[in-house]
Amino acid sequence: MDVIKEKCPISGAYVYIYTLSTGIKCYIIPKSGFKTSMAMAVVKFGSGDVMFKQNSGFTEIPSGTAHFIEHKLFDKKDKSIFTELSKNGASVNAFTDFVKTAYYFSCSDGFYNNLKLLMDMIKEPYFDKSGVENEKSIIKSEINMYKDIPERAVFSNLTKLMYPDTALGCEIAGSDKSVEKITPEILYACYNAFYTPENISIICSGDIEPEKAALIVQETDFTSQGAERIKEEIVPNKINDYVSKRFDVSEPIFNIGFNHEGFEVCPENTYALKMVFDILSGEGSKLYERLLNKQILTEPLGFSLVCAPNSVFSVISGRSQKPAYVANSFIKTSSLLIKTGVGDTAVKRIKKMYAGRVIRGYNSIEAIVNAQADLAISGFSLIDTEKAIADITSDKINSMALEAFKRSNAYLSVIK
Amino acid sequence: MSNLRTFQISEGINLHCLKDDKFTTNSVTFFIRTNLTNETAAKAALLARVLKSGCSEYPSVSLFNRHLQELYGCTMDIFTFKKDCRLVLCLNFVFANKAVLLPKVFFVAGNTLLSPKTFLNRFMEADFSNGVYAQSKAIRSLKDNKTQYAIFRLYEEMCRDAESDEVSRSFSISADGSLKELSLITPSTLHAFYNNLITSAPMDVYCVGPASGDEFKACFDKIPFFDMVRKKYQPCGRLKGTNTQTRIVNESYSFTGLNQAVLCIGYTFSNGSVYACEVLNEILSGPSGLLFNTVRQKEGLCYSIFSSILPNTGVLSVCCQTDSKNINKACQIISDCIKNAASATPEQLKTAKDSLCAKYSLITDSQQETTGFLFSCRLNSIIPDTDEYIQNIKSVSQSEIDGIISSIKEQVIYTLN
Repeated sequence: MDVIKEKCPISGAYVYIYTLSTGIKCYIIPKSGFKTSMAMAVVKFGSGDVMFKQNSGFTEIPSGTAHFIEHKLFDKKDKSIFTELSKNGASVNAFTDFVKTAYYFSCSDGFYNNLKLLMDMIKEPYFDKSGVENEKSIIKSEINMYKDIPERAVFSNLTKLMYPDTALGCEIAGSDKSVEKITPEILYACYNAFYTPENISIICSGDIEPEKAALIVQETDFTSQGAERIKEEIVPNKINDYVSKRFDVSEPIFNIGFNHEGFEVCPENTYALKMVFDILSGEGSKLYERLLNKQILTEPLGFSLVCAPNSVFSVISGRSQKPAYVANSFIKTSSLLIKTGVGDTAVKRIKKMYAGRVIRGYNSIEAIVNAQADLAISGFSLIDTEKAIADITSDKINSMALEAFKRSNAYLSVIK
Repeated sequence: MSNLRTFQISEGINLHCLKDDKFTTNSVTFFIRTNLTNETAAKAALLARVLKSGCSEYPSVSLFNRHLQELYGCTMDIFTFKKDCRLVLCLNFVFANKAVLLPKVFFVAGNTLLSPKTFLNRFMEADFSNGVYAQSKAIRSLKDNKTQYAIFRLYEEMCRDAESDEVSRSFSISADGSLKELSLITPSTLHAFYNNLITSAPMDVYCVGPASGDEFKACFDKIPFFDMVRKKYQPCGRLKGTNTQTRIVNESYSFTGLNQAVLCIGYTFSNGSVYACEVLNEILSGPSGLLFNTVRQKEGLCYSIFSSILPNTGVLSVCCQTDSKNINKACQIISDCIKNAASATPEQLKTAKDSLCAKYSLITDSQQETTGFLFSCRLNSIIPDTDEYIQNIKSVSQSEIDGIISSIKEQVIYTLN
């Protein structure tokens, strides 16, 4: 069991990175004084995975399979791990996105016992026919619930527009039709292909002993064989169009998508991109003030970066009577910024803001674990994030601004 | 929470400081209370928007926000919310624990509250107009979140049926106000409301973080609040439902319709302490609760189902999204779940209490939740201590739960299709 212990340059927090003999990576961030302890098991298997090769055969994965496993992995032959953890006073949940499935709990007592339960849960699946059939109606209800949420629909339409006929253009939970195709055999096959130690990271934080936690993870044996992940070729839509759907909302909701071709996923690039967005249209920007005073926006724009298999894209979200005007203003301001460049004063101010955000993040065990979970998938840690923010330069931000937000890589989805 | 220090600044203004070194930030929250009417809700919500647009020292949105960014991304939020039948205007700052920031943030807070951009007893026309526009959007957006809208409509219907007293008049009012009331406000009437609020409304300020009570107080003392005696508000009573038979309300969601219906059932009750109410809600709605295990896991009728209880208002509601054809079945099962809570097994009772105790023991890990808990205790005259609260939860008996259930009356079944 190898361990690296390093101090983060901004927050001063310590991060322990264990590489276990089983192949699992374990990230532990101790936080003394907190009563909450939390652990998350992150599995590199998400809705963006469409096929794998095992022995000599290829297996296609029905849309929604990763999410289905997320629902069913809690259930064992004679017990529910969800109920067991709840009985221990732990709060339990799970989620799936394009690249990963994550299972987690937080608790005030019995952290190590709960961690053992979590490990037991992910090491051994139990998918029976009647349980799988019963789950289908619950998942279909979940899919229908999402269809009624406009913020979800606008994103779903955006990915369909940007990446048509790919897994990125499908709902993470699948469709009524694809869910019907899922059987216990498919679930076992996917589990065996992807729930292997090299695809799993464990993240723990709280008032805990790093080595004790790492040893519990180390003791867990996996029998999954593993498989070769066959990545889907993602070709973004060549037509930079917009899609508009009627939903009967009080004010149009929009997502502006930017496909970032060739974007290397690392904290330095991620934060450079986020900082460009904040300089362009954050709450301190002239663009935001102008749109506010013109009554085109009433709230700040949101920003998120989505790192999916074979594709990276960012999404700018908001509400406005004039979504196209907002998108055009944003792109125009971006091209102006390329000409003028970002000044050192603005960079210094934005870096201070990000340093403050990092410090604030250490107030919450949940925020620490979630932030590390996103990084673990690409093999990074919170230390890399803080180093990137501390070291980022005006030159880096200016070079990111050159390519990030251009009309040629922009798409617009609107819900009216 | 033995290290909570309260300083009475003047009659009606109190500063509460909780030193906690584990946090990396300091949090400062101002709670300003007033009575809840259609008029005050609209005015307070608009005031929050106008105050956000800047103050005399930082007179534009960009200058204001750039200054906050310089303060290591200090976050500032102003909003209103309902607490039982009272309205609260809340101003909150969270900022990195750096000695240099403390006085600077209190300066911004004082400037925001006491020196807004005004001219001749009126708010500036542009800020006012932008605020009205934004607030009208916020009011209209209630309908965009179907679950939120359905709960709002359920409460509205429940109040319509209840005895006409202060509780029923105020309980269904949205903290965002109504479009009608918003349209009646002018820059000068808003200013008069602001003036009245800032000089006469009771104010509680909560500071949680590594800074000491003395450090917080030294900074707070520099804000020149008007030293006037503030109004006093008493807690309101419980909603008195009058329906002898459940009233059924079906509403269609505009012309686009919904993929799934939203079902909300509202009950009133008269018995039970705050603690017993919370335990009952946990038996129903907790992660191993009757609703989750029966309606979702056993019957597969929905993905998400939850109940919420308002002990002071005496209202219990259950809400889920399900296929329209399942509504009657879901209503029956939910009704059975509530009856079954009266015969909860000792294990179910223990699980619910353990789960709640775990939740309350973790409150002190969050500045926001700690602040909310302390303020709630103050409004309800409860000792502000999580350990004591937990002890009271532990001592809830099954007979207390039975007592609440025996007084429960199903008032309204509301469906949004």
